[in-house]
Amino acid sequence: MKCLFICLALFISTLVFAANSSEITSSAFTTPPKRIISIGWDMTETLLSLGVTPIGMADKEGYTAWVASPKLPKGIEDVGARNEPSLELLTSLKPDLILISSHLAPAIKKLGNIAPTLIYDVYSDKRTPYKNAQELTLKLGDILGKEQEAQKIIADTQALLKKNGALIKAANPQLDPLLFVRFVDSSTLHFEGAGSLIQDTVNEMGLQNEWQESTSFWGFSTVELAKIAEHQQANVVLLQSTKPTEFDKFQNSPLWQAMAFTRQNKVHKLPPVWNYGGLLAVQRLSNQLVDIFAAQP
Amino acid sequence: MTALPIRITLPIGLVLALSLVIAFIQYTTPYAGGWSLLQKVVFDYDTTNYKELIVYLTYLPRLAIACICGFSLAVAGCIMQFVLRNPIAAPTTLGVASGAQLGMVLGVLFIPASMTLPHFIPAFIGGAGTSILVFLIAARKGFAPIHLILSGMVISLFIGATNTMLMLVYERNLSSVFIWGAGALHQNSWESVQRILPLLSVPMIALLLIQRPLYTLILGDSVSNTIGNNVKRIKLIALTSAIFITAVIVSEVGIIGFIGIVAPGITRLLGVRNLTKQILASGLVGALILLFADQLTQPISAATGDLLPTGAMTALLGAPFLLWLLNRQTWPSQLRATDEAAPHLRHRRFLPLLVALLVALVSISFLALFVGKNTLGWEFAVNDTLLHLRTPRILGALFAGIGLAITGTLIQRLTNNPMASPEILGISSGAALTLVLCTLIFGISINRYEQILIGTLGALAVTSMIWWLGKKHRFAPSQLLLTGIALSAALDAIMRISMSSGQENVSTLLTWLSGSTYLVSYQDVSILAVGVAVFGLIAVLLHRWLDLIALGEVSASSVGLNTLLVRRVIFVLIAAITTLCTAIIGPLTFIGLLAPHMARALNQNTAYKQLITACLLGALVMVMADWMGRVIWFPWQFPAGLLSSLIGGAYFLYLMRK
Repeated sequence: MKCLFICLALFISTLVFAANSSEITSSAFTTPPKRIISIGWDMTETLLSLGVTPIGMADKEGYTAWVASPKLPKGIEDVGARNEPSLELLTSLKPDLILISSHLAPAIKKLGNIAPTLIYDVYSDKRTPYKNAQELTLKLGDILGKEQEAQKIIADTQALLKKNGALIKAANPQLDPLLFVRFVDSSTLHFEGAGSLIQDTVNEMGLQNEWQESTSFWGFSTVELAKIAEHQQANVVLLQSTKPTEFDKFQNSPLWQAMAFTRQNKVHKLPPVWNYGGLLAVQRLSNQLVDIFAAQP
Repeated sequence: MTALPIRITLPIGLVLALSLVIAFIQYTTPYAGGWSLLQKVVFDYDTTNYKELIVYLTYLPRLAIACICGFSLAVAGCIMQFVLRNPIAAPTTLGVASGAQLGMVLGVLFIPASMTLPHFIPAFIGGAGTSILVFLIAARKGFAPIHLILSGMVISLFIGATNTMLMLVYERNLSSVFIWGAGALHQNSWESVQRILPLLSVPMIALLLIQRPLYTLILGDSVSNTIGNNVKRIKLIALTSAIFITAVIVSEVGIIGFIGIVAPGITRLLGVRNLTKQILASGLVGALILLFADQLTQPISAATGDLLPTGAMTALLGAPFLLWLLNRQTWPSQLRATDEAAPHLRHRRFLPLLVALLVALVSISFLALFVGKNTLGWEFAVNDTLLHLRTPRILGALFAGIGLAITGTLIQRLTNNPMASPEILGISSGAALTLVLCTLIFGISINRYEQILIGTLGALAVTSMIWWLGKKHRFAPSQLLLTGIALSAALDAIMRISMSSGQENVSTLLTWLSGSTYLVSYQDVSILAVGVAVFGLIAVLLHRWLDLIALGEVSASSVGLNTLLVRRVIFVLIAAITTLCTAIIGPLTFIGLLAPHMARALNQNTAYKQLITACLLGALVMVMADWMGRVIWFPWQFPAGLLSSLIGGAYFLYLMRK
């Protein structure tokens, strides 16, 4: 037994010394990289917003279904799943930059052998997705030689949020706080709160998010249905759900009907928007909120 | 040890639990209403008051569901353990849970959104269908417990692997399945209660009707037959009822672990002997446990602000409890898998088989090395970069297959239990558990080295814990297994909780847990190869011990074997190889369970031949799985552990049918 422990201790210590990490800036490239493969969807979205088309991306089908906008240009190669993109295909595409999220961090060494690899997360421990999305835009702008485009998108987004916020407040000065709800199954809901792109967007617009309690890494809380009774005064904004018909049926239940927001017609449906995305997703979300709240009398 | 015997402490504990439940209800009732609000709702219900509406439509049905589920699962578990003669059999042993999950997943993905079908229906069809499949496979051998359990486990693995693959692809569509999988008890109406009560009453009545002939099974199949019982039919009715009960519960509320194993165990410890009383007592204990767990979960859930699914929490709370029980030294000796019929051994020549397997292994390895896919289709490559990408993967799969097959054979020989596998010992669960916890606590960016380091530390911690617990029991097989089960249950619970809380990194976690060779480097391979070679060689050299230890404590000691020493040495071997394999390719490759059985099914029955055959089979299946996972869905790929469960499972079922 003792011998075993010693062996393992040796084994572990070799591993610790072998550990390394990497950080990439524009100085690593003499010319801006052209052949880029983006594994994370937020990366793909940000690249497209800068006018750069990657040569490969992960899970194209999923992007089309969940992120939807901006539309993918033709000719992007699908390199497989986001958690295990095909290394063989990556190698054969001969990229000069690979963009990953930290989920893939354990594979950094293997990816680094193929091309310089940048790790970035819009959703991170800092819990400031909007700021992170800005930073990601700047970072990619810097590496790709698109600083001006990056600055412009950031400024545009900021201005749009201010404008849209003002529009909503003008149309609806006494607006109750917003409660962003995703229907999971007939008795479980997700509430979006601190650390989510949605809350950041809503706050930037000068509006108020109703759900202020602690949230998961991804900025939402999973709650049972009864919890919503404590937030009856809010405006309920329903996010895209995978089970629309079951929700429609559920809307007729006595519980939902008894809630103040149902009786006062304060339940609104939001069109699909990727709330784990980048600045373009933020713009879309704020425009959708204008459609809902500024159009109302 | 402690002063009070278990016969006294356990009833005290149960009474204490009951009073705590009553106190908790006062505390957990919505709006701090306590018992008075409940009273008001029950006797003087006012539909216009939304507070009463919430209590009536969510809180009360939840209490009812907890009681019903706890009762039914415990009854089903009691029947399963009795008929299958295995104290670690659970209501879901015959594949109900994985089948129901497959039904759920397929229902969510492929039933058109315009159809409003409660999830109960696809889940129930999946669960019941899977069990019918298990019955069909076991029917040939007259529903012998061992064959039922084996086919149940293998089918579960097979379907479970399919489920995981679907989850990896469609993760985002399946958040409701994750919630269900964790067994969340919260309700929004009385609909569930109304649906399951009538369905449950049918099998319950059937069980009451057959309880007398059922009890005669305890005499053994042959004696029971001679006193005029149709053993086969009784078994079939009993198991069908138990499965029906389980399928109803699982389909409606999701997977609630542990109760089905622990409640019947507690009942036995309480000294209830008569079967009817045992069934009823198990039911009551089960209801109490689930109610208690649910009441305990609610305040924790409220305090942390996140939804904690009761089913998973039950397992999490139950695991330390089971460990405590284990430490009380009082598990009755009948808690052992018994297979009364002498196995019918056939002879097959060893050398030709060995050569055939070797040839197959070498050809598959070369195939995997040189044949791949690119965007245009199949390609034959002798290109250096590709070979460098493939070699570590193939070697990793190969050595992990060998290592796991060795541990599987060792542990099945040591414990004499066909359900035993490296996974069930808890060492790999320990590694996975530490890793999952670190991921949840310290965020997601853990690099490969930290991954291996943390995994190894976790495995070591569990090994020392099992060692410490084992000392007391002289490494008795059943204690080893039950410790492992407790730990695996805790891991499973944490996994389910984190998946249901909507962590978006589910797929990353699932991939690693499913035995992936994606990250294996040359360095990893060399460590793995040396370790597996050394420990494997020791195992092969000790093959005589393995033959003897399987005869049981008494026979083994009487031929001069120091059983304690042998068990210790075998345990160290198992721990070392499992730790290595888990750290490098992840914990849940079921090849360790399957390979020894496949070797047996090929009629290699002595330890020496079984070990060697299992090694080759393990390596063969893993390499093939790795290659198939990489090319079939190119550019998507699936972990070798999943594919090996599919390939190994399918082949094993074929062998069983033969």
